[in-house]
Amino acid sequence: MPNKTMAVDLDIPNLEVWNLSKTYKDFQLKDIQLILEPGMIMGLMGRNGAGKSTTIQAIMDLIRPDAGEILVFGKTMSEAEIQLKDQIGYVSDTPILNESWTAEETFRFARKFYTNWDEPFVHSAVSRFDIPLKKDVTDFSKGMKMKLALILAMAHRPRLLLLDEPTAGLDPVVREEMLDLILDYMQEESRSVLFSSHITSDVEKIADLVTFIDQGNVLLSEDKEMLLDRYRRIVVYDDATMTLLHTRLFHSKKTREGYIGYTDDFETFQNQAQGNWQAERLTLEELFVLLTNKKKNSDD
Amino acid sequence: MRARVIAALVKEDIYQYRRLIYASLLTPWLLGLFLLWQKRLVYDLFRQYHFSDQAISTFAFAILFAIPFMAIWLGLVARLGKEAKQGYYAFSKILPVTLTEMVTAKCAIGFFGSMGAAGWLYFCWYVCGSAYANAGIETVWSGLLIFGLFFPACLGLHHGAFFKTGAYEPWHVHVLLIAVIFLSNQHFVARWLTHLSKILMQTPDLTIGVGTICVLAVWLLSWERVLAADRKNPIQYID
Repeated sequence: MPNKTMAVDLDIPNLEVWNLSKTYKDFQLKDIQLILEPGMIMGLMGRNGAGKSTTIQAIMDLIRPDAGEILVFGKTMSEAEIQLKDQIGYVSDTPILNESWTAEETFRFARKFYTNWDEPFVHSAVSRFDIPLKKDVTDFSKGMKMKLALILAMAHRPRLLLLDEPTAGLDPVVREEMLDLILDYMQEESRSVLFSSHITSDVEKIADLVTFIDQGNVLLSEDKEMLLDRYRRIVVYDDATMTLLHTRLFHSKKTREGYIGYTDDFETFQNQAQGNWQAERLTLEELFVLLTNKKKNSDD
Repeated sequence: MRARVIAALVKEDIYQYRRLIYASLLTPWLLGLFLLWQKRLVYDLFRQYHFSDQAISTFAFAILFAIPFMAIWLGLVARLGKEAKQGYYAFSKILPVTLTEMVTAKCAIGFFGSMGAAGWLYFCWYVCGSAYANAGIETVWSGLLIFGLFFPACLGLHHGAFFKTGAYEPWHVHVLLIAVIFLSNQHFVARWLTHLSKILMQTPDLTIGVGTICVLAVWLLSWERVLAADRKNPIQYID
């Protein structure tokens, strides 16, 4: 089923979200801003109910935002819904599939509507993931449904992959297989992935950029390595050093081994701080918890 | 709106309906064969219970006419809700298919399906009508009016209400059927139906033609209202 294809322009971000807001009765998404360039994987991290799914559903045009603008390859959904959906692959946290069909029927139906359906990829992914083609999707396990949804999302070789908690509730082997498939998909430079998860190890493994989202707000959005380089946990071993450093640290508290605090500008800290202290690199999970708590404390 | 996409969606629906279509076509023939095979038993039963010619005609009508009709009708009614539960609409929303195309395809299959089922009734009546006992003819014509024109129009309204609200249950039709049963006992409805049946008997081609146009108008109105509702407030198939 031929659709008009869109020209690839690597200078235009694959995804731009400007001031996205959406209000529900008990939840509000506030002024979300995201930019995803070609060739990048962005990990969207947040607790359950933080607003990750709402953001992705708004990008996919499954819900209509109250305010803001979403551009995919420089265009809005209302301008070019068919061409954009032809270039987007979407996996939701609860796989969206027709449960009464078999995997074979699902592929047969979906392939009619895409321009770039890649049958050899489907065959190889189906055998790689051991997807039973003749079995009804309703009888699939959650992991199997998620694999099927991921193959389906990638089968038309989209330039933008939106994955909403694709690894949640899956065993480590399946998670690893799915992450490998995503990394294989990223071999082409025009492609991007927006990958939401609260499993920080998955994001740490594959993401180039991370965006922390909490209670409907973006806490930060930047390059993962730069972020991990910028933050450090500082252990201060004596009171005299702590007196000198306490203005440069946040969340500091006294422990049995000394004082523990955090810096968000380690390079400057390292150049200026004196005394008896030691720096420890944070994991993405520790950083996420730290920033979420920091925001909570500042709100209180 | 792309005609090829609508055709592909309709084709897919027909593929999904295939078992129902086979069953509805086969059932009367299988029943007919059974009756032929066991005709002595059937004659004995008729004689034992003193069935009149009219009762036998009605029985044959039920088998030949009504089973395929009801199978298609129930299939069309149950389909929307069943598909919604199974995730068909949410799934279609993530494909490069617009809601207009999806709703148009569903309305096309619903309209042509229900009119096809009604056509089956009229065809059977055209072929076998002369063999029927005169006493029951007016009832049969009333049935043709209700099943052939009124029900397809109701199905059009049901499609409109279903897509407009994103409802997951075919409750509109259940309410409608209860209303039909209730109304059919009302004196004014019976009088009105008799009057219409007489017109249908006198000028069948004209009445069926005008009726079909009215049914089509109901479907078009429902289709238009769904799309207007979606433009104003998008229909949600995702929780």
